[in-house]
Amino acid sequence: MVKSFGSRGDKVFDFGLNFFLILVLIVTIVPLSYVVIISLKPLVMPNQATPLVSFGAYIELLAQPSFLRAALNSFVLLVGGVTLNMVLTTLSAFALSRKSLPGRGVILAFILFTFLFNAGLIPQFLLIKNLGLLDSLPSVVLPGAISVYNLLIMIAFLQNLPESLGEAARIDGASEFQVLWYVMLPLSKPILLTVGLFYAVNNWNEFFLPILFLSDKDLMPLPVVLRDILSSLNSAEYVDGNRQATIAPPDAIKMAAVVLTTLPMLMVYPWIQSHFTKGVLLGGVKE
Amino acid sequence: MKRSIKKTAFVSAITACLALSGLALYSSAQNAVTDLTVWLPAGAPEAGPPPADWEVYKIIREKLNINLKLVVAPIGAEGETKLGALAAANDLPDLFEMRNRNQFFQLAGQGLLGNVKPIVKFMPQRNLERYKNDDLNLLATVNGTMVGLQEAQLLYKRTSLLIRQDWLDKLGLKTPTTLAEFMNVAKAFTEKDPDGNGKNDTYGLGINSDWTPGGFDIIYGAYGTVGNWNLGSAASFKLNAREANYRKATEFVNTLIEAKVVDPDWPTLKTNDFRNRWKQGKYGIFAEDFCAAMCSFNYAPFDASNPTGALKTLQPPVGPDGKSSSGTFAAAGTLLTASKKAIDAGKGQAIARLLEWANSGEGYYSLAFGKRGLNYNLDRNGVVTAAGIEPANLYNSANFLKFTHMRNLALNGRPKELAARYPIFKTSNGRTITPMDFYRASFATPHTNIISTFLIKPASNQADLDRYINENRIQFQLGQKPINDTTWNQFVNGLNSLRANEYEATAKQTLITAGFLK
Repeated sequence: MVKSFGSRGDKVFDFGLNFFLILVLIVTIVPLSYVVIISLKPLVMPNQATPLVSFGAYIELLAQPSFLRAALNSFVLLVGGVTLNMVLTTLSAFALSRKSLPGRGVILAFILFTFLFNAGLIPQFLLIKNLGLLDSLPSVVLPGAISVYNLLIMIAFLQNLPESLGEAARIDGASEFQVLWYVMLPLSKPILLTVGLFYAVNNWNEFFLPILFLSDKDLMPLPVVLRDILSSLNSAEYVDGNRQATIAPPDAIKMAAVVLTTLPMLMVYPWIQSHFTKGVLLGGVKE
Repeated sequence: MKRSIKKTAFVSAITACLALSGLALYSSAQNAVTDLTVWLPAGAPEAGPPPADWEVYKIIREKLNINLKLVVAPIGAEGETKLGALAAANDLPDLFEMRNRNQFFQLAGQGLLGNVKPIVKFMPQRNLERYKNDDLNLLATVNGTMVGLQEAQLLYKRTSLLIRQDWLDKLGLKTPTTLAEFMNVAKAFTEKDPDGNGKNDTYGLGINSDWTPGGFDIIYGAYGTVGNWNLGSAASFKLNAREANYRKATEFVNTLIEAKVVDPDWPTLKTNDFRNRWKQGKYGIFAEDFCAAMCSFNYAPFDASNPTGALKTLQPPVGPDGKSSSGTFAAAGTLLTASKKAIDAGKGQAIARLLEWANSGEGYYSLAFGKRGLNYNLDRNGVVTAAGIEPANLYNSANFLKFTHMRNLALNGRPKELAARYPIFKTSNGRTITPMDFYRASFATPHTNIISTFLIKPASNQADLDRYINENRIQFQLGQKPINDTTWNQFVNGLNSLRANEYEATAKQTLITAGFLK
């Protein structure tokens, strides 16, 4: 017997599903709202009225001389990194999606090998040092210029596009680059946005490579500087008794740092959410 | 004759040329500028580096002939990874501070750290004031070679118990001295509403679980088993967890917990939460760093919540054998090391010149407080003061933080310096608090010296061993595991299954060889 839409069983199922999704929503929302609420906590001072909420933590962070510089560094890494990532990944994926490419299997095998095994930290450091890239922003974006995971998703997506479209363009005299630029890329918007978001998040959150490859504190991106600000708050209690007071409690500053770091990504995500889902699904399916 | 004159003139000319060349070479060697890369953890982690035109760079170049490149080193695990990468590339900085002792042993073992003993004589005053402690020098000596400059911690024995004197007064209680009195006061603080708010919301004892062993140092101290090791003598040397008194201390902790006088959240309470709670007035007794409790910035939230609150340093309770301890201490502070590459390249003297300059006079004030008249002034007693200085330029202002990264090379912990760093302040109801009085009171309480344990290299399975001891101890303390002969013997025997006996033997030999254990 086939259940009809709207049957009692369906309603129970829908209710269960919605209940589960509400639980997931709560699990997601509660920590986030906790972070925001704590970030607005005012500093309680003797003989002073305490407001209900305070933006002191945000002011404290934004007033740090290193904060804006670090935000700029992060922005440069984000724009430069994603541009580099997308150009290299797209070109590689387009070539590797062509089954007629000579040696394709071998090249893919080599690429896959780097996905499973890597040389490790020290050789990477030595390579960057020998290339003379230490203490420069390219040292942060070059090691992750192509993510094998993103490359494989994009290859799978491009392979799903009808080959006949490219062939038609070639018959009309289009070069390979023109095929990519005028035919394939316009059809690849979902995967480009998806992979772009993956790369953007990675570049924005990059923490370890800047510490490893950069010594100049003026080049450090936001996550590193925020970590420094937070560790300074932790150590302030032990350093000098005459250190000037912050205008917000340490907890609030920590949470404000979390909000400020995640905010750009949170703002971008809703705009590309629909493409994102589509891109991941299409890239993951091979017909 | 004529020929002889010519010959003499020729020889004289050659000699004069050689002498002039020698003088020129010597003079240029004296004036040669040495490039020195110095890595130091940030004085203020959030601050950027000092600008390239920092006056200190200029002074160091002109007066010390050093072209200084200061790198503000990352802190924590990432910093250690970076140092490891630099070591692998044989690219260690010329002079750097090491905070991870295991990594120090590792780099020394790899022969990457230079022998600094020969350069000490080039910094006579600093040597006299900082490197004459044999115990500290032992900590920086590996295989008989001094590969580090181990300085003393400027302020040690900083942590001790604090008690709410206002609660004692209100409840008419005497300051506890023994474990039994300690328990009674803790119970009263928990049950008799000492804050008078009509709520059952106070605890006799607040515990910070970030501290070891689980924050109950004072109890283990009362039984003579604070710290990981019994360091009494070579004969008694072993892990404290094996001691019969360790069990008694654990039983007493369990009694405190069963009596509900300890904040029940203690097993998971982190430092920030612990501090928030005592500042809110939830605890009657707690252990705390003197400045974290009594410096104006840290005291202010407590003052706001408890305007009539009064904290007093409490002597740790005395145990059945008359023992007591506020906890462990090790007076080892900054450990400076020079790379072997730098020493081999002849940079040792330049390193010594820099350190000697930082030790006193112009170097000391420049690195610790900035420029007189601009960032600080001196009062008639020679104490650094903010009088007459623009707040934005003050040596402890946010603007000045970027100039503080080298100050650990200068600070010396002398009274005048401490008076500037830990100033007296007034509470909201006009009481005067002198943070240094609390430090002195903390220092005067008994502490257990564990400096020698810095030489003990961790066991290969140290994480497993620590986890085993900590998990069992907490289970015993909480009563999740009953304390009786069977369970305790199982616990102690379990140590050997983790090869604790081998670890103890190696550690013992290390301390005997170093002369710490007799």
